[in-house]
Amino acid sequence: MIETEILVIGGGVAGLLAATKATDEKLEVTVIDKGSGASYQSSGVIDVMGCPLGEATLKPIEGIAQVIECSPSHPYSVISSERNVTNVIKDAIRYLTSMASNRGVEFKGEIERNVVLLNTIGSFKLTCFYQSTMDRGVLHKLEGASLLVTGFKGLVGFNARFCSSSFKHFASKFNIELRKTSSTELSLPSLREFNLTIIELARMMDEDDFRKDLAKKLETEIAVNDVSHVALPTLGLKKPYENMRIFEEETGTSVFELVSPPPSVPAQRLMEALEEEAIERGVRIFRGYKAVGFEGEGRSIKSVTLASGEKRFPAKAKAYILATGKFIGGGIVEERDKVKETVFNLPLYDEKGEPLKRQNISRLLAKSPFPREGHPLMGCGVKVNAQMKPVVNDEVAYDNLFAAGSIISGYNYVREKSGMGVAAVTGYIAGMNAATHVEGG
Amino acid sequence: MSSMRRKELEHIDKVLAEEKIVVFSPYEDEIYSEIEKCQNCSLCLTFCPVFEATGEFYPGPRGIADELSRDVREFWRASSIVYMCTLCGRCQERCPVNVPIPEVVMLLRSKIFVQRPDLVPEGLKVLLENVSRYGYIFEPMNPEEREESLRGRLERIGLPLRGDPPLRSGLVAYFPGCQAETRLLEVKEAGKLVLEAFDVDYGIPEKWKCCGLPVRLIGDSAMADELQRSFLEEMERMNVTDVVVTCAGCASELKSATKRLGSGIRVRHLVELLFEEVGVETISRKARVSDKVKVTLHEPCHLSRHIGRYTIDYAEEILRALPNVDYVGMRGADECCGAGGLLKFHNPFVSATIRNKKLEKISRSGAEVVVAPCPLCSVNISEGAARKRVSVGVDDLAVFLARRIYSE
Ligand SMILES: Cc1cc2nc3c(=O)[nH]c(=O)nc-3n(C[C@H](O)[C@H](O)[C@H](O)COP(=O)(O)OP(=O)(O)OC[C@H]3O[C@@H](n4cnc5c(N)ncnc54)[C@H](O)[C@@H]3O)c2cc1C
Ligand code: SF4
Ligand code: SF4
Repeated sequence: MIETEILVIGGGVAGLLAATKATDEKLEVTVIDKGSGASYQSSGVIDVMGCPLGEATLKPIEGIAQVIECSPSHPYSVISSERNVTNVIKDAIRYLTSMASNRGVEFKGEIERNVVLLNTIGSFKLTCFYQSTMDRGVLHKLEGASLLVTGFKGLVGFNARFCSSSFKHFASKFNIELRKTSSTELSLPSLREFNLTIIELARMMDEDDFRKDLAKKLETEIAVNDVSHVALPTLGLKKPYENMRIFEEETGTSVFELVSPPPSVPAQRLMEALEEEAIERGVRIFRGYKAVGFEGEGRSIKSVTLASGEKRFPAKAKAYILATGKFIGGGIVEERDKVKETVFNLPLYDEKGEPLKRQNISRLLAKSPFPREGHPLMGCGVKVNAQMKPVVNDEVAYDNLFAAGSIISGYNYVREKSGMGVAAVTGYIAGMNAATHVEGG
Repeated sequence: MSSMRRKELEHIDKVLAEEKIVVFSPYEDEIYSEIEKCQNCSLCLTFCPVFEATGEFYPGPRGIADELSRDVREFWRASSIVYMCTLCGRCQERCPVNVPIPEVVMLLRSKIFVQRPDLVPEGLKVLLENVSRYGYIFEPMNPEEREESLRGRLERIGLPLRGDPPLRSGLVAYFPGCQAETRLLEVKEAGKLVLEAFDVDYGIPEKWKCCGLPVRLIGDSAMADELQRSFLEEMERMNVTDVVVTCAGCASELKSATKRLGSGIRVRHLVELLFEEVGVETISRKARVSDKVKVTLHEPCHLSRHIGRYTIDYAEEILRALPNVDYVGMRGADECCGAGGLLKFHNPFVSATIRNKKLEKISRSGAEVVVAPCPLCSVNISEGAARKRVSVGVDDLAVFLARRIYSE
């Protein structure tokens, strides 16, 4: 029933970027998604290369070079055989951040350096591009700061006192001296004092009255504490910049938002922005369809089978982009002793580019769930060539099939801190190449 | 079995019955164990309309999973939560591990209904009495009043009044549903006219009753089962193979009843029948050219998530096929209108808060008319629009179609 020029399976960061990029060529692009995946669970900041070969670095470009030298099957290495990988990552991220910016979500950062951001669990996150609500809290900008970590009574999963002492400790590890850290736990009349989630708090922040009350409270706190910077667990869902500006004006301090694990408000903002911008630029998005199989003829995909309720029907396109993610997205599932790719049943490869053999899997699964080098299964996926076409035994699997994002093998984003960077650049290239494929007939 | 053992078991059964304890069925065990998949990521909270509307006392889908994972046997603790859920199904759709929250909610309601009837919201008990008394979830108007109201309504929209063609053996059965029979009367008439216009050989079952959905939503699954069993048996007796429904809720409920009871009868919503049997070309050809109008679609939860997303695409294709209908998309089209799960009947305040959010999205779409393939959603949205003075037309899809297709 769906007929389109390009069908993208999966609407995470990789899929949305690929789809939007393909519409630049005035093609008809359709995204189908069964629900949601890792992109919604991310922290809403863009990692490019945080820990190449397991060691943290503040210089992503050097990290990328290291990876290209040592891991030939890494997506960055694969891309580098045809393009200047740093430039294309830059282009891809500029594309992603300008999509977000058109919908009011602003990013900061540069590919030349990683930054350290503080998070709501009292630890830190190494990343490259971050939302500008987090800008004042970039660790190297906090030298000499007096930081007030603001908690809320009843807010689940955030302990301001613990964070404030922990931040001091982490800062010193990065040779940053925080002049002072302090914490407070606010209780506001309109806030419930138990079981409060960060989503509710974010929604409250967007309400004028609440924001006014909060600004006043902060002002009193600051008067006693000699504060230069205020860290908040969230700055709001819809109006974070407005909120930030108002708090800064009222308190005369620098205000920022902490990074947070799921449910991450910045990630919701980012994903909503990308989806809206994709639609604005002509992408059709259908949520609620699950791809469950395909029809192929030789080296060409004829259609993808979609499931909806009891119905199964084909979706036809000239080119297909597989952007179904890994275990969280559902692009790869684990069934007893087997892992498999769910739509095209493509063979899987491991981080080193070797075929993932069945007997390997039990060995991999038997390993400790948190090995230092990262869980080996997180590096598995489909293997692609520099055009992002899946390959099997070094041969292109289908002429009109492309892949993007964490369905691709050869890297482990959990260990490496490269998730959205790889999703963006592979999505960008897959979108471009799928468009070229369609235009070339 | 020794007589000692039998006696023992009888005693246990007796005690359980006295204490109103219902042992979990294997199906219940299976559904409850699905809850353990919840990884507490809280993603669902962003998509739950009730959580957004209340926050305060509704902990959202994650909260339901959370509450139960402590001790499923103390399910009744969750009573204040489970009756608030609109069963929109967004949480399950967005949940990365597909925790079946709506199914869990339905199971809990049925357990509460049996074991702790005191916890069933009062506003819902009235509805149940209506079904026992009249066969419909709402008290019907008296016949003269109904006829007068119906005439007025039809005159206003320029549609004729026809009698109900009786269901004869082998015909397609048209099931109008309580809302169209007792409240939004023109939907039933419009449904008839549309079927007639496309030469569908249909009849209306004699003495049909509530499809059972609201009854099941209240928690009385025994009564719901009985209503559905007897309806489907009657249809089988009449050699009916196809049932067509204009209400999204009835359609999804009767569909799942056929599955549950292993019936071979095919239940379809009007949009399914039109798309699959008539085809959009025919619809387009048959439709009159009316004034240009900008239209958007509200996606009933019972179509998009309970039956399947494809029904929404059918509805959209049908609207697009009508001459001079300028179809515009709506952000948030798949969000619940607030009437789901019977929330409206025991917590009108929260229900209206959700509806107001929906109205904002409708306004933002820029459409002059919002079409809903469901009389329940249509009534709810148009009440909200009137109350909030939102200047948008609200039409049930059957009515919208009939007005463009019917000709003398
Ligand atoms: C907790 C967590 C935090 C993270 N934080 C960060 C961070 O801060 N910065 C960063 O850069 N990276 C982060 N990452 C990594 C990053 O989120 C992922 O690498 C990236 O989002 C992957 O994007 P994707 O589009 O490839 O996959 P996904 O976002 O998983 O998207 C795949 C989509 O495909 C859909 N899908 C799957 N199968 C089917 C099917 N059969 N039919 C239809 N649809 C289907 C899914 O519903 C899903 O929406 C984090 C990851 C996790 C788990
Ligand atoms: S989205 Fe699913 S896994 Fe996450 S908290 Fe909700 S029910 Fe649990
Ligand atoms: S079904 Fe809808 S209302 Fe109920 S918990 Fe899920 S998202 Fe909330």
